[in-house]
Amino acid sequence: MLTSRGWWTIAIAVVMCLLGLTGLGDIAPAIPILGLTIVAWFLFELTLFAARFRRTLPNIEVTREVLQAGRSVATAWAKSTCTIRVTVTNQGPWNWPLAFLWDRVPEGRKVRGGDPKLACELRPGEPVVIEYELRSNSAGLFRFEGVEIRVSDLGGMFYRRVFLRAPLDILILPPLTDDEGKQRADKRFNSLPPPGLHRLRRPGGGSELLDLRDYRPGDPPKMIAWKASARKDKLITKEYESDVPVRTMLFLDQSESVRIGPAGETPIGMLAETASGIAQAAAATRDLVGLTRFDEEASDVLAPARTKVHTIRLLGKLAEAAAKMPNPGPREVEELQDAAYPLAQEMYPELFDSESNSRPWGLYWLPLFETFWAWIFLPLMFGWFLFLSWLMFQWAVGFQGRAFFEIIQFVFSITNSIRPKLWGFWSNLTSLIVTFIAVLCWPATLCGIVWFFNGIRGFFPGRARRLRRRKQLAAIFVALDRDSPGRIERYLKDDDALAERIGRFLADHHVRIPPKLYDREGRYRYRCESKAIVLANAIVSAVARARDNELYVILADLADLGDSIAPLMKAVRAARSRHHHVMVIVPWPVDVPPPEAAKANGRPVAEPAWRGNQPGRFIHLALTRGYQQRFEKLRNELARIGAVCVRAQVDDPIRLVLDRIDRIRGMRARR
Amino acid sequence: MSEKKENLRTYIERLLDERVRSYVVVVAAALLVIFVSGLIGGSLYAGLVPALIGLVGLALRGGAMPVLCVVAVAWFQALPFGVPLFAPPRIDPRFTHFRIQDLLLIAATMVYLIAQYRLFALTHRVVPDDRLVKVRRADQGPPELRDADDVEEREIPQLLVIAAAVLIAGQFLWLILSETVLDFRTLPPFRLREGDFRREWTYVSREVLFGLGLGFVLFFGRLAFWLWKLKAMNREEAQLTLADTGWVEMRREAARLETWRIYGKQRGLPTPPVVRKKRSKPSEPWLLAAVGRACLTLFVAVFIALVLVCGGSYIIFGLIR
Repeated sequence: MLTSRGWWTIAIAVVMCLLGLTGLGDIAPAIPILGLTIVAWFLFELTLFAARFRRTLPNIEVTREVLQAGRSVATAWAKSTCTIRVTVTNQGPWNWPLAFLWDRVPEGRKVRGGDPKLACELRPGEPVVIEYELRSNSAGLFRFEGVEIRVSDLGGMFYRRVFLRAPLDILILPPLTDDEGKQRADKRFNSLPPPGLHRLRRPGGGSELLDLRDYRPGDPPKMIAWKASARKDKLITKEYESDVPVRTMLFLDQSESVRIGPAGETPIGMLAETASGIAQAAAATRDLVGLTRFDEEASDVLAPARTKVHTIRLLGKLAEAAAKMPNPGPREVEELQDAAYPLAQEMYPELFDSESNSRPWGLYWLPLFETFWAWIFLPLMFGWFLFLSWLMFQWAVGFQGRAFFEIIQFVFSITNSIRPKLWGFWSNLTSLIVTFIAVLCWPATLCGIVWFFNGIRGFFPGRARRLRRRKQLAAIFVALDRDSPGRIERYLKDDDALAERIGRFLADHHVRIPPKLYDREGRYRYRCESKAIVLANAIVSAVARARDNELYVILADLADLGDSIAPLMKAVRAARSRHHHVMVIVPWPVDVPPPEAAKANGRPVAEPAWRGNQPGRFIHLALTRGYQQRFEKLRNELARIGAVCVRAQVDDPIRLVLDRIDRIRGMRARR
Repeated sequence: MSEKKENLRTYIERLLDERVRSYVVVVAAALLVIFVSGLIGGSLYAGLVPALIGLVGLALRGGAMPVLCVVAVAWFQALPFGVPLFAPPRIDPRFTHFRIQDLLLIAATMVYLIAQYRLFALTHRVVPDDRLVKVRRADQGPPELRDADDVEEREIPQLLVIAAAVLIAGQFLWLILSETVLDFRTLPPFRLREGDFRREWTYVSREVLFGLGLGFVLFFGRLAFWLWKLKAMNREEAQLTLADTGWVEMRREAARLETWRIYGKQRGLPTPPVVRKKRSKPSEPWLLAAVGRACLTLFVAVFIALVLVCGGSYIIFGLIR
């Protein structure tokens, strides 16, 4: 609460008072008077500040609006700037002379305009407005936590920091494609059926003649082809083609592997954007679009439809998928604690108060018998006392008592040589008795010394700091979860439980911590093999539900799956056997050049010479080449079964998919 | 232009801002009064040094200068020439209340202190950055300042009123402390000072009264605000207080339970496969470990032997007897 300025002021004033109230006051009375005056002023300011703080704090209200295109919205669009307007109102009767407001910007986002900070005076009933602009490059989520308020007196002697929590999640929908984007890039067929319709060589209610067949009872008379009937001398019925729209099913990967990356630049964000573009373009031509989201464990389906409501719902699902946080995986608890502690300190400053979040001294003491080696003292003590007891027994029964006396004499001689020599009879006697007992029971003394030095290690700064932070975080988690007090001790003792809770805490607040990509054995941790099975099942289900030959667009990170992709290949083969079309869109890492870039005129470009002192570069090159090779392999395997594989950022996937839709339409039309 | 120069230029521009200028004038006037009252006291240094320190603090944004200025004022009151040239005469404290020169000096000092602190809030820095060091390093922004637009016209008169009020309060406090002595023979245990008391006892009496008074004010103030805080705490704070109190009460028991729980959990975990590494040659830790193992084996063997010998001798001697 006191700033350094406040501390120095009160310290000097008290020193002046204490000096002045002794002899100095008789020489220079101005000194104690000045000291007393400063103390009186300090106490007055302190009381005023504390009273204002307590009176005003519960009466501060925060409201937030997200504006896009000048109006308040509940969801925002990616790639377009939105304005965040935060209104802070002091509803109490007292004013706050100096307050610094800071609206906590969503984690990992940069402010594009305006300022989320404001220094102001909070007058009763007068709202204060903070306005700034944010922009997200891809679908996801803006998580607003609340407003930090730092209050101070006018002189800066006292300050307090509070965080007014007003959490709000704003979904960022994938960008809206403009009119130009909705059109196909090139027109391949001149005679197209009406938008969204294509003819199917299956009898239906279309307008184009498909076939003539023999009349069957029940056929409507208007369908009878009279000329043909007259020519054949029997009733012939006309059959028309069926007009159905192209159905596109999007399969979006939302597994851990595509969630990695900085906020707004994750692979899943890019995939969601691509999916959104496809969906909007298809919806513009009144084709049906469905969505299946899948991860390592399950999938959910949004059945194909073409209404506007459906499109918005689909975009919302894409945004939800893009907002998912990666699981940081098994991490060292200290690492997580280092990430969570500043966040908790920022957002729950009042919960760090030592009055309510106590740290007793006993917390830091290290118990001796929690170490496995401490148990060695037990047999030592036990053996020694047993030995003494045996000697005493010998002496008591009057049999070979010499050994006992020799031991006692030996203990006395050591006691005399090491005991502290003090003045006075009683102090000397006390030191003699204490030293004698200590030497006689030397294993217990040794154990006591070890107990002390082992326990005191807990107060050393590094360990004490870690434990203090851990206790504070544990208590805060228990308070937030409304858990039992015993849970605090569990978090203190159980690393796994604390790591899990911290991970949840970070995920709740949408804080990303850099994931560890490789485990201790050097294996890539985010391969997510099981998603191939889930995806295969989803494709098979889609094939089972399909009415017509459809287009399946798989937006997934499949390059790292290796041999685990076999179930997916089977499913794709099944889809192809039913004449469905399959396209795979793979997110391409930003820092990996496409394979074509490494070749010039079909020949590999010579890499710059690698020198031994550049291990980082070597590893990067190896990883890059490995990724390119895995992608090439995947593409070849897919091509072999008739599926197309394209890259999300390098190729133009939306255009390719639209071309494919046109081709499907055209193929059906030409039949 | 270097960053420091740029900062200094901004600082001076802020000082010259018309809304801030009034505080500058007040600070300068207070320093002038300090200087004059020092001169009235009969020493040029007593006026010059504190005024110079104050001016340097004003010009160079010295955060410690206001406190140093107060210390200088006090120093030159005790030693008008800065060094103990001669023993200053003693004054009876009963005749030192509401003296004009003291009033002038202390009023000026208080006005200077209050105005200079407010000026720093407008031009230099108000609130310290209390975040963790690494967070602070990662996000270094300009210092937070009070907006000059928020300066109201009534602030200067209010400042003067506060200074006057605390000046009178200080004088009254000194009056009470110098005129009252502790006397445990009476009830209440203090009375007005009459006659010539032992000087040492007067000093002790003043110190104790000051300590008691300050302690009383702080204790009851703290108590009042603590109760206020309890009344106004939010849900999380209340939950935390309850949980923490419960934890403090059951800490030892819970620690024991959790220790055994963790032990059981670790025992239940599958044992990782033991990877045997080839050792080319025995290293120092290996040697130490071998010695340790040998000692442990020896100790256990000796212990068992001791038990056997003791038991055996007891039986044998029993038989002999």
